[in-house]
Amino acid sequence: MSDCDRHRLTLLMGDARPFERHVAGCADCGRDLPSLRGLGHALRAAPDPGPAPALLWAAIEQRTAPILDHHAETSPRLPSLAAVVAAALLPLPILVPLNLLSLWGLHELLSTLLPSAVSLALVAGQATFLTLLLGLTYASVPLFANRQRRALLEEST
Amino acid sequence: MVAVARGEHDAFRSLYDRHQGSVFRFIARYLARAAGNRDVDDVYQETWVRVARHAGRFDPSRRFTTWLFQIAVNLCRDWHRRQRPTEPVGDARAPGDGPAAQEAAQDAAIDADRLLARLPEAQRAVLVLRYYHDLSEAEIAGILDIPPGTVKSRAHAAVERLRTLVEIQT
Repeated sequence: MSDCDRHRLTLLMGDARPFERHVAGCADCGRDLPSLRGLGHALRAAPDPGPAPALLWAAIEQRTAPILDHHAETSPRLPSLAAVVAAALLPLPILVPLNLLSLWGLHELLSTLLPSAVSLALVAGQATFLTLLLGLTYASVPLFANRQRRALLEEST
Repeated sequence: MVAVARGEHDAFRSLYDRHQGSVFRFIARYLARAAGNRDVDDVYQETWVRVARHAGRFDPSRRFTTWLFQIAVNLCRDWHRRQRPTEPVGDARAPGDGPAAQEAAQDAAIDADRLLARLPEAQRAVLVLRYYHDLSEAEIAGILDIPPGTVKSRAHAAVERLRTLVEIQT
């Protein structure tokens, strides 16, 4: 949108000051000012056609009720997001000790071959990586759950 | 919308309450003088019926208003396609307090409606969304499924055409 277009629209929307400043340096807009003012007045003077007449809701409700009832009957029973996250958390009490045990075993093994400090550093790196992986996995659970819910709803409608 | 797709009536009602005014205003202005009140009401009703019917297809990553206006625009286009080129009907709604206010409001409505009715449908849609609904060019482009550059050129053409009409009248 050119500078002139933007200023003209601003004038039509009722704010004349930016346009008046713009007109000082724009002969074309200066020439069109009276007709633009007339147009703005005509558009603004039109009464608001809304809101929708209240009676229309009754007709809409009558037509949409069977559709919504059909959705209620056919939509799959989806578990809530909280339930999905809770289910995903269930294996955590097994996973965490298992990981800790494997890290401890790794440290024991490496200590026989390397100095203890080096082994500890390697195991700490591995622990950080595992924690990051676990965090990313759990962060993606709500995203995947939402996507699947949407797919199921789409199939049902 | 997920709740509407599951068939929850209350969710549909609250969605309706939140957006009914803007959709109704848009349809009334988009159809302008070409349609009577009854046609505006019919298109408006059908818009909400489609919202209920296709609720499951709504992508939550998008704005609901964009989807809603897209439905309304498509129905208005269908309505225009079914009509003869121009069949002006002068029964605009006339809100107001007393008879004098109603009369003045009706005159102004007819003027604005008459002006809007003289625009090609594509330009009218852009102008109504930009001027009366204060939507951004990007939002209008999304609703009408056209590039933002086309929104700009149509807005420019609409203003220029209306301005010329006003100039001729005065």
